[in-house]
Amino acid sequence: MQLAKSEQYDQYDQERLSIASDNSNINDPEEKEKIIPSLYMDRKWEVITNPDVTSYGQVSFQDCKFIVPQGEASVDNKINSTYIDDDKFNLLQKEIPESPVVWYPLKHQRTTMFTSFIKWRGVVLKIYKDCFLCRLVDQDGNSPDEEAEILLSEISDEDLQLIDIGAVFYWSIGYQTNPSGSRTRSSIIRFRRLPVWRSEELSEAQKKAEKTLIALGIA
Amino acid sequence: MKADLSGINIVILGSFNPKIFQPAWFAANELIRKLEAEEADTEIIHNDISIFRIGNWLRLEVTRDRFHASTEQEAYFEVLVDFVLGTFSLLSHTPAGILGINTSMHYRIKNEKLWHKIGDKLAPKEPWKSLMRTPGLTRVEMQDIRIDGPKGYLRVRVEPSIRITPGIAINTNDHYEVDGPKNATGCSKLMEILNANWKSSIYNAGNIAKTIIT
Repeated sequence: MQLAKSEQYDQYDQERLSIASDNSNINDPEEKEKIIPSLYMDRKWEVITNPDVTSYGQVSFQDCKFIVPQGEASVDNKINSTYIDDDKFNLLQKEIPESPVVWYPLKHQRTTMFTSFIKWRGVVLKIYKDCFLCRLVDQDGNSPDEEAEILLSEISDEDLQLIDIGAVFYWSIGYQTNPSGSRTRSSIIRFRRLPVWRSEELSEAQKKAEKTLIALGIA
Repeated sequence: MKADLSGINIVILGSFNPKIFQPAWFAANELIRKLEAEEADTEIIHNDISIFRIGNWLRLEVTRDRFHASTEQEAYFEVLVDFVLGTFSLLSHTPAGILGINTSMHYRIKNEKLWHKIGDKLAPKEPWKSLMRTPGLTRVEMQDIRIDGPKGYLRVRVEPSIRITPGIAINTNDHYEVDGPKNATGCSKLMEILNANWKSSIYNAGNIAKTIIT
């Protein structure tokens, strides 16, 4: 005879408890010393039933069929990984007992977000009194290269000193969404900032160029 | 299809001196604007850890073994890469051998039905229904080992977005290792990898996301 679903699950639960209890009676003498039966059972039971243990703050997703709470990432994986967890708050919670640094719980800070319609990489070609001529390359490759004149007044004061022939800048046009949700059209121009070439880098480049010339039989 | 929220972060594993990573140092080396350094939101500067934000475009976190620069502003992806390249061009003798070019994208899904459909596509529930009451996908992560080019792998993780409901978060981890990362004496090789691969890495992540969502 088939059991009703709820009875089946009750039976599963009983079986789990029974397994946990059975495991506490392991014959290995070393293991026996380590395991306190009641604690071991509690721990097993907690993992099975307590949503807070496995949810890491995503309890709300339990109601959804797509996704239920996330599991723990192994510590070893974290150490050698270059992965960044978006839900950092959850990881930090886990690290609190081990870390000498006192971590304050992170809240997602609502900042103004910029979404771009189009992004160009620009190169300065000519500089005039109140504007500069540049070539623009669409970063998504959707449109051909263009030339444009941009007013110097569009550039932030601290970037004005970076304007030079050949200087690279990034231009994004899009909209900004502020924390309250309202959107405004926006344009961001930012000049590339890279450290100046050092003499050792220049001499290394010189050596490489000489090697290439020798390899090509030109020198 | 554009992500509703997207960000990139660059992680470098090596040996760092966190205390030198502070806004004033970056401004002095002209990697950020002076005004940005003055207005920086510093969380902590310490021998073991340094964390600060520059405007709304950069968050930097450096510990003794990990450098992590991130932005959630699409307009600043290139700027962030330049920032990292510039930093390690100045600190070229920093021993570092592992690099991660990571993306994080959040997509709003029209309705819950579609949302579940994507979950079901990635992990069909049928095999689980006899084992669980209401099986649900928590997270799925796939890895592809890089065969040509630098040693490493690409990992793609899909999970529900905690920022957008109903939404899906897709994270990619493009992981690179130079030969013998533990014995690395500098980081120039790693920076060459970053310079050569960051763009394809980000655009590839976008293509992966499109394939998953549609």
